[in-house]
Amino acid sequence: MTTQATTVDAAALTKKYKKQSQFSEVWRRLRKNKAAMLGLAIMILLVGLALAAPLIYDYDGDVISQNIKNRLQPPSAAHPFGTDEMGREILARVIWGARTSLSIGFTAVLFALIVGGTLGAISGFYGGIVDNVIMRIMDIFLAVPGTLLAITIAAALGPSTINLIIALSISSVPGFARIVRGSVLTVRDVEYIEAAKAIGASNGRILLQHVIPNSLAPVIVHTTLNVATIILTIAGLSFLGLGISAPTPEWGAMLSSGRTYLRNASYYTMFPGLAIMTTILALNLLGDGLRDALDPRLK
Amino acid sequence: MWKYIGRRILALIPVIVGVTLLVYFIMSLAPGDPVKTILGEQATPEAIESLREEMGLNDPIIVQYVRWFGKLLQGDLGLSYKSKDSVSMEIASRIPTTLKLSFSAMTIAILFAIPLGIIAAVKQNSIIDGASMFLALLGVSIPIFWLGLLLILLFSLRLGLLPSAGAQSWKSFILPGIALGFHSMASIARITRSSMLEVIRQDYTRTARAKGLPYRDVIQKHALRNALIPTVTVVGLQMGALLSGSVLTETVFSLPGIGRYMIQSISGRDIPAVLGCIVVFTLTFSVVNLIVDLLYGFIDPRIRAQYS
Amino acid sequence: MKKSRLISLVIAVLLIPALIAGCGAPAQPAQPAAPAQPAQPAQPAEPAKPGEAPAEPAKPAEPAAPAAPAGEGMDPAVDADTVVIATADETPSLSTAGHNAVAGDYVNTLTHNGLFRINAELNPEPDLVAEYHTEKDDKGEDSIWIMKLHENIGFSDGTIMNADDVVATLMYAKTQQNVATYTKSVITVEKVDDLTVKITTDGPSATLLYDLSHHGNYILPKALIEADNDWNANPVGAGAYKLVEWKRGEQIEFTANEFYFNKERTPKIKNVIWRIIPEGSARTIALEAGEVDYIIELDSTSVPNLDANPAFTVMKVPTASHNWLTVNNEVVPFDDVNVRKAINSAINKEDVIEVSINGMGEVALSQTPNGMLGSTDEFADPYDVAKAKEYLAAWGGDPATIKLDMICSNDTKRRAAEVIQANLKEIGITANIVSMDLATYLSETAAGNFTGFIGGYTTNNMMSFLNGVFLSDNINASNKTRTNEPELDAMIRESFRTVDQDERGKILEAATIFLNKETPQMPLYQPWTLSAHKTNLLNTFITGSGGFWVQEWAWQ
Repeated sequence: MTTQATTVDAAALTKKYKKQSQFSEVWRRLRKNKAAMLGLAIMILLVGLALAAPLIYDYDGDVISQNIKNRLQPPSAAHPFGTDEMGREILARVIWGARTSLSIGFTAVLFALIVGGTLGAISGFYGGIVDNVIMRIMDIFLAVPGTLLAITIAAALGPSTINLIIALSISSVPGFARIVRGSVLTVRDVEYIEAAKAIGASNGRILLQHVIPNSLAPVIVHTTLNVATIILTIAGLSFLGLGISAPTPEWGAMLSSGRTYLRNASYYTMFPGLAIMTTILALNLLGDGLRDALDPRLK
Repeated sequence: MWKYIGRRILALIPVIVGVTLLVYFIMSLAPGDPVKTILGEQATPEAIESLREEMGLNDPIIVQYVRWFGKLLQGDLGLSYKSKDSVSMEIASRIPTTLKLSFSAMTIAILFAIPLGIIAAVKQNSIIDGASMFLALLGVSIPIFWLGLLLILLFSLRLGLLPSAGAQSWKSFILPGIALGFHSMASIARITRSSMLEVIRQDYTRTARAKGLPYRDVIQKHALRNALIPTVTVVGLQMGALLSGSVLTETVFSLPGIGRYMIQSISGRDIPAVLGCIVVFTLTFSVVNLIVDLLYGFIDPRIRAQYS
Repeated sequence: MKKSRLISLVIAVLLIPALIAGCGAPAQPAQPAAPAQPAQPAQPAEPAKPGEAPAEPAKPAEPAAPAAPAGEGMDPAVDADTVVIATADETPSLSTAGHNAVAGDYVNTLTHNGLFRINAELNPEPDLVAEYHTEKDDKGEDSIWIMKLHENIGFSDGTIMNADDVVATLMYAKTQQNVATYTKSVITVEKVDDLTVKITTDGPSATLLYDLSHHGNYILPKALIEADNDWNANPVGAGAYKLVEWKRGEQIEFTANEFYFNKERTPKIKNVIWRIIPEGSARTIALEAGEVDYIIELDSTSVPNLDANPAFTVMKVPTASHNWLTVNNEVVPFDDVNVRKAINSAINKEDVIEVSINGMGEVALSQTPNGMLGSTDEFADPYDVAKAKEYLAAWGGDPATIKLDMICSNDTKRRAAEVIQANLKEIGITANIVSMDLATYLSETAAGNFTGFIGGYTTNNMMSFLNGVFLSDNINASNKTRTNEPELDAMIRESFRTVDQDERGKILEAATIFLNKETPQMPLYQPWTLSAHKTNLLNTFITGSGGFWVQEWAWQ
């Protein structure tokens, strides 16, 4: 009894140690990459701002309520980023906009990751007819460029946050399915999986414990870069009037309304645009860095 | 090889069926009624009902779809709900604009990307390398519509040099071309650089250098040719991005292309027009992918060998 | 090393947009887009005040810039024989009967002609018709209309119009769903002789002449109707212009119709290019750059800039377009008149105009548009928060329990809704803003699936306004408040049968007062039609319903 307990403990320890060392190795490599660290720092700052938004500006008071006498004021000490056509603080709306974009972006990616990942894993692991059916369906989705698909779905469902998440997720699912399937295929036939099969481990267990963890690297990279794509798509959809609707602050929607005032209040379009660009830039830097750090061969 | 092309084209059929069926259902189930949209705010109940009957909208969706698909098989995209003109004609009259836009975007992208990528690779880790790679990173990060607005602000409003809207002359395509092409330029420059770097490290490049050939010649005659193989793929893959991007670019610059037509048709619930655009986009996208695969084979003999 | 370089690059790049924004900044006024001052610009506008004696049709809309010296203004975009017009929306169709869109009405008016046309006072006057009179039917009612056409009216294909064409057109229009409502009162149309037709209406009709002015009833050649003509390719009509080419999504070109019948109104400018530029600021930029000569729908944010520039003339014309917040009168508590009146009195309409349309409009108090036969503000409540609270007290409920979702289908409506949201908060009502695209909005509101929405209605006469907005027959279509008042219905029907203008005016006024007492919806404003053109383009003119006659324009 006791001996067995010790072995289990030891195994758990090795596992833990191994995981830790893997993680710290990746972290060490990532830390050496200055650009990636810059990206990470910006992302931490943005997420921090998004989380702290309610502490900085009151939603009802500053973000959506209007003050007509103050409309379209250029940037000044009182209004760091100026005010919009309703007299609202653009800075407040940009900060709250981070909350909108990031929360929708992450939710949609998580959704796509779960659905696409599961489909991809099943497809890759079982192969045969299952694989064929799933991947042919994915092909249909992939035959339309992602943004166009999202535009069509979002437009048809009508503007709302939930619909936007659905549209974005659906258009991202095939990408995840492909990536996960690909990496599952590469690990499926390696020896330790065969070993697991030999000792009678169930398929589900093999998938969860062996296959998925070993195909994480490309998935993490794809996820990071996909968040960037999705945030860009959210802004694009809102710019077209198909995404987030007023008065909820969203960068793309702000650009769209600021466009009318381009001539006399160009600052209005500057700040939301900069916010989008900075976010995407940071995610791209981080994604590239992660790719190099997680698996140098992927480069 | 012909067999391969044939197989790829055959494989397109289920994709087109799937895509159009999907879009048809999404559009039909969407809230919002094409008839009320056509008749507008002042529609009377009788007018709504009889127009609906006339347009066949009282039939089950699947019947409507089959009817539409039957026509598609005969090369007929149906009639637009809005204009009652043939969708093929509506689209055909808008294709030149979208083509001109894509062409100018791609030209601008390639014109800048390849030299940028090569210089960056040849002068790896120099200031030029850093700057051009940062520019490339910027390209994939900047939203097309914002870049478009900035260009309008600078070149149309402040400097008054170029038109901000419409498709009247070649000048009208400069700003949209830059806005749309910047993203592709970034991707192409990055891939050119990395494949160039890889080639430079290859044995044959080193051999050529060892033989005493001038560096310029080595780069031009040996490295470049090989380095461009992945670039071709990326150029092809950028077509997808260009198609998506054209929707936003055409909106920002008021260009009468297919992208804007699709957006307008979606908001007018003009289902035949939306489907027509989707079919055109899907076909273009798939055919370009096929051409890229084939081209890839021609450029790289190792891949060509696989077809025969 | 590399790091610091990278970071400085990042900073540099982040600064570029600021530079773009900043450079040239001195050229712009310190107070950007301050539309506060043009809030009282009534003096340059004032052209086509509906209801004012017109006399000459070419009443200049640009009195502000009178004797512009030669050289003032800009050269025509193309040449002196051409005018380039920028518009927001592309027509769905060049046919007259295949659409009911304003954008289509504009182009139909170029290529086609009606028996009547609406003049500056929003009254119908004969156009293709030379003379007409009514006769009594067997019931002794004035339901028979004898109309005689002008001689030698040429269609643009060179054929001459006769009574057969009129008969065929009106019968055809009755079968076209987009416009059938404009021939509803017409029972039969018969040919009397080559130039005379006899129209029989369903009893006396006060709307027939308005209906005959509608683009759906513009006269088409019988031969082409029978040949099932493709009107988009071949829009033959008797208008002053004819189609040259329609480049989809881009522009439509027209040239003068050499067979046009009215020699006094032949086009002064031979060619018309109708350019589609959907984005408002893009239209303004195109005008300022000289690429277009005339903007039909001027963006309200552009008004201050163009007003300040003598090269351009901005026209601000009061319109009959009525805009409001609608509440569903069938839903509790909006079925209570006190609740409706409370909401109505709580809305600061000046603020709505300021934010929603940059001050370019006039407050609407009455349930029906101003400037029409039968308009009155009697019994309409103005903005008064104290009064609003009194109404709420009279209702007796708790305002916090009122749930109002305001559906908005575009930015202008959304801006109005945001002001209303803030106003209603002051009397304790929480209103939400719901965004919908136009298609969804149209079907949801017609079906009654709403508590509130921002909407409007545009028409050129009071009868069709009341009919569309408040007649109970149109519940589930254009009667969105779902008002169902037999007494009101009777008044509306009576007005249709009252040909005598004074009589009709009394009935319509009574209907308006009835509605003002009921307050089915909360009127917000009547916007001005905003158009702009190069100052050296003369004789421009807009009617209260937004109509204009390109054939009368001339270059200085």
